[in-house]
Parts: sequence; structure tokens; C-alpha cells
Amino acid sequence: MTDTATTPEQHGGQPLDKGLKVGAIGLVSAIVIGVASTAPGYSLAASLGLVTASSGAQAPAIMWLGFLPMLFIAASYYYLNRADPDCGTTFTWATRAIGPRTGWMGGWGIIVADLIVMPSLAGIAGIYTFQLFGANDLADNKWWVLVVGLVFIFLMTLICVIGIELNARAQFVLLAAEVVVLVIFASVALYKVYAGDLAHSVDPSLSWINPFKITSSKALVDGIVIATFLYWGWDTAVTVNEETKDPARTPGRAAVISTFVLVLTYLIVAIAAQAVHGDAFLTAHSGDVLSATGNLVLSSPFDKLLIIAVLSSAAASCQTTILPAARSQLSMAAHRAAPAWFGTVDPKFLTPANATWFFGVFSMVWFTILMIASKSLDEGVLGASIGAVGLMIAFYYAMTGYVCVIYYRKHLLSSVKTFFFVGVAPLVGAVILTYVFFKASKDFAEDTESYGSWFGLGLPFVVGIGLLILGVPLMLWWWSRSPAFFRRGRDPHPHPAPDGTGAAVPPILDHAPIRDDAPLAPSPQDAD
Amino acid sequence: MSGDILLGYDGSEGAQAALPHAADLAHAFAVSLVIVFAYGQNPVGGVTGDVRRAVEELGGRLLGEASASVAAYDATVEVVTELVDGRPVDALVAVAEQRDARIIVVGGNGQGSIVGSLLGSSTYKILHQSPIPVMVVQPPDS
Repeated sequence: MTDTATTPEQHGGQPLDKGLKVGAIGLVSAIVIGVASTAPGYSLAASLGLVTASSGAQAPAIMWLGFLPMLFIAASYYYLNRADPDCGTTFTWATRAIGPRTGWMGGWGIIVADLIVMPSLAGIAGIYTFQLFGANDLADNKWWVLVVGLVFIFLMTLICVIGIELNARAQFVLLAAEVVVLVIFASVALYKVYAGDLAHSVDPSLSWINPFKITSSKALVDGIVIATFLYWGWDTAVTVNEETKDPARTPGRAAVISTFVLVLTYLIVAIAAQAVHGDAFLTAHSGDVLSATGNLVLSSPFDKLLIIAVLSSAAASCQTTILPAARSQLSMAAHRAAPAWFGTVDPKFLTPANATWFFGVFSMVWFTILMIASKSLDEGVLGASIGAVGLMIAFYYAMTGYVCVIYYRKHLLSSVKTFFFVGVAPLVGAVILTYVFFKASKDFAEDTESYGSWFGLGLPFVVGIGLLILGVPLMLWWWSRSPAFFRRGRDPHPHPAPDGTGAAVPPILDHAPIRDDAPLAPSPQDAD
Repeated sequence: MSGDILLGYDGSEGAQAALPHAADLAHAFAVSLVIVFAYGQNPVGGVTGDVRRAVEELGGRLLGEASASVAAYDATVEVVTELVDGRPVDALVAVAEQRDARIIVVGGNGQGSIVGSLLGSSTYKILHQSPIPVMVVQPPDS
């Protein structure tokens, strides 16, 4: 069994020991977690019709174009994880490359993105549970959806607390259900299309994947914005780095492979779904393209399979959203950027129990408040909150891309490969996502109709930017209570090289790790 | 009671097949034919006004095509079109109540047994949730 001990030539890759279960996850499990976290079933059901709305028959082209910035950012994760496979990911790396305040906001961005997507996942899980059993009346009743959604969050939180291995096993089952169904759907659809069994079907054409056929730059930009959400989640594979065998290599590899698995899945399903009745049909049924096309392709009772795919997708993603949120809090606490309470690791299960429960319970409260405040899942503040998640994703993905370039800036010219993979690719990815962030912010701010408005600005903008900015007073509060972390500058040179050789990374803070057996003094005593 | 005939229209084969039947009913009762396109979207990250407008454009185009077909089929029928932001079933029921409609006409998906196969589909839901009668027209080659 490979252990986490560093090999002699590799000095990077030794994170601060936080007491997590070491070596519990292999490459395959990490890929499963990365892909499941992205929730391909639900992402396709909810977003494919929106991509056809903006790009028409070129939706499959958007699928692979949108994949490129993700691949570039995945490269940043890959190389940064080489230097420091700390479960705080963006938080830790931005702290090292730019400074503690930027790092803190990066960690906050991850937590907020995870928090605001939870009601969506729980809501979808609730709705599809009722649909699976034919209780359509209950699926339309927001109180019943709330109850089932809360049960889902509770169960998924429990799984996350009980252990990382149980997590990985649950993910295997859920993802298998999801992907097998998607493959069945795509195969049957394409078979029927080519056999001529479907009236009004459209034979797939190579022009569908041709990006030069996209009619306008606006269509391209809208498509990329939606694709950002479609692909979001693979970074969870890196968040479990401390629990992975060979933490400096496996998680980064898993993240990159996950993006490839996703682009393949998305391309095949997008082409199959579009072949069923053409792209306009997908646009007209953009609320859930999978059940609309599934009804045409799979006869009873197999059409229920697609409900199972979306349901397991939402459940799996719910679980893998709790994972990174809890680990970001754990890392921030371990490096004293957050109260030590969040850094407690359960001695039996070896998971960040406090942070996990905190996030689970907070998600339930947040879900309940939004459900009470909104008429239904797609309206009001709840819809706005879910819409705003794209802003948060673009924020911390872009930050990670810049961090990679800044961190390795002195190594970029060491080889052509390094220049392109560690420099150019992350920078291009970061610039695209920065553009997505500002473009989506502007559109959300101006769109006062779709979800309503506060202060004359679109609600998703207010919710998204508001939650992001809320991080600033929180950070200042913690700074005043415990300034140790914020006194730290960025890492001095020399850094380790992108391949993990060279100088070792210095610790974030010089202190004993937070462990149950060696508790730190409570934080107020950090204050001067 | 206005007694209008309501047609849920998404451009699919079933909806196209339902069109002349709905026009016949409107003609027979001498009432308006209200053609409704409803678009309910899942709120996902990054869905901005642009995408919404694109769906509205598609809806507008489909409604235009539908009115033209009705005019070609029976020019005496008065056609009203409605583009509604909302999930199809809720939207149809809401428009039906608001206009005090006589009947809702929708297209089937041509997959045989409706009750068995249409879980999650609008046709199945409308059959069960509509307060007024519903007529389902299957596409010709099913």
C-alpha cells in the first residue's frame, strides 16, 4: 500500500496533519468523487435546454468549448496540489501565493458557493423522490419538498461524518446509477434515431460540434457561462487530498481525468438528446430536457430510470458539496484563519465532524428560510440564490488560476511544457472565468425581471455579491480576535518547482497541528 | 364564461396534431382559440436574462407559426397567443382559470399508455390537475 510519506526528491506534498484519515481514497474513488460532485445527470437535465436556447444546434460545441477553461483550471489545481496538498485548496494556495486576506476570501468563496447550491440539490432530491413514486401532487407542494429535502441533507451530512470510506462507497453506487442510465438513454436514443424509429428525429451532424458555426459571440458567451455551472464540482476530488493515497499526485490527476469524463458524457448525451427532436424541442422544454426527451425514447417503465438518474445525481452532489465545505472550514481552522472549533476531527471517524455538522445544519436552516420566503423552487429569493452560484464558482476558480501563475512565476520559463501548462493554460482559464464573473454579475444586476430585484438590482446579483462581501466583515472580526494568521506574508522564495522538486513549502503558521489529543488554546488568547 | 378553447403548444408533433382539433372546437363554439407557450426553467447558476430572452424568442416564433397554421386551416377562428413564464402545467391551469376557458387541448407524446409512461410529463400532470376538461391528441404516426 502506498503511504503518504514523501519520496526523497519530492519536498512538496506534506500538508499540516489535521488528523484526517490518511490513505483512504485511491485514484478511482477520487475520480468518482470528482465526477459525482459535478452531478452530470442533474446538470444536463437543468442546463442543456438553456445551452440550446443560446447556441441552437451548436450546443454540443459549447459542451467542449466550456470544458477548456475547466481543464485549464484543473491544471492549476493539479500543480498547486503538488506544492501543498492541503484540504483547504484555494484558501491555502492563495494564502501562500498572494497573502492571507486573499486566501481567506478564496476559502469563503468556496464555502458560500457550496452553501447556496445546497437548497437547489435538496429541492431537486425532494421533487424527484415524489415523482419516482408517482406522487406528482406532493412534488408540487413546497412543504413536502422541504421535508424530504431536509431529510436528504441530514442523511448526507451523517454519511460525511461517519467516514470518508463510506462516502466513497455511497458515491460509487449513486454515480453508477446515474452514469449507467445516461449511457442507456444516449444509446437507445441514437439507435432509434439511426433506425428511423423516431418521427421528427434529426440525424447528428458534425456541424453540431463545430464551434465556428456558433452564430454570435453573445451565444458563445452565454453558453460558456452556463457551461461553468455544468462542469462545476470536479475540484472536490482535490478537496479530499489529505485522505488520498499519494496526496501530492492522485487528487490532481483525478481532477483532470474527471473533467475529461465529464466532457465525454456531456458530448454524448447532448448529441443524443438533440437528435431526438432537434434543438428547439430542448429549448422549449428547458425546465427538464431529460424527462421530456426520455419520454419519447424510453417506454414505460424505463423512463423512470431518468428520474433515478437525476435523483441520484442530486443526492450524490449534495454529499460531495458537504465534503469540500467542511474541509475548507477544517483547513481554515487548522491554520487559525477560523475558530479552532471548526478544526475538531472526530477521533473515531477521522472526519471534520464539527465543520460537517455545522455546514449540514446551516444548510438546512438556509434551505428552510429560502423555502418559506419563496413561492416555489424556481421563483423568488430561492431561484435567485441558486442562480447566483455561478458567480461564486467563477470567483474561486478564477482565483485558483491566477494563484497558480503567481505562485510558480519564477519557474515558468524552466521548460516549454511548464510555460504552457503552469503558466499560459491557468492564466487563460482564469481570464475566461474572470470575464464570466463580470459578465454574469452585470447581467444579473440588470435583469430585474427574472427573479425580482432589491435596490434596483437583480436579486441573484444582490444575493451572490452580498454573500461574497459578507466575508469581509467576518474576516475583519476574526482578524481582530486572532491576528496570528493575518500577520503571515506570502511564501518567501524559493518555492518548490511545479513538479514537486526543490525547496519544501514552509508551514502556513508555526504551530502544533490541531488534534483532539493536543487541543490548541482557544482562539481569543491568540489576540495580543 | 368566455368559454375559450385553450391549446398548450410546444411545437412538438403532438401539439401540431392537436392544433386543427382545437381550431375545430373554437369554430364550433364560436369562441377564441388561446394558444399558450409556457417555459419554466430550473434556476441554475449562470442563467441570465439573455437565455431567458432566447427561450421567449423561441416561444414567440412557435406561437407565430401556430397562429399562421390556424389561419391557413380556418381563417374564421380568432386566435390569441400567450407566452407565459411558468412551469407548463401551472401556467396552463392559471390561464384557463383567468380566461374561464371551456377545455384545455394538449398533444400527447405518441408513446401509448399515457398513465404508465408519462411520469413527470406535462400531459400526465395536466390530466390530473386541470379543473376543467382536458383533451389529448396523439400525433398521427403513433
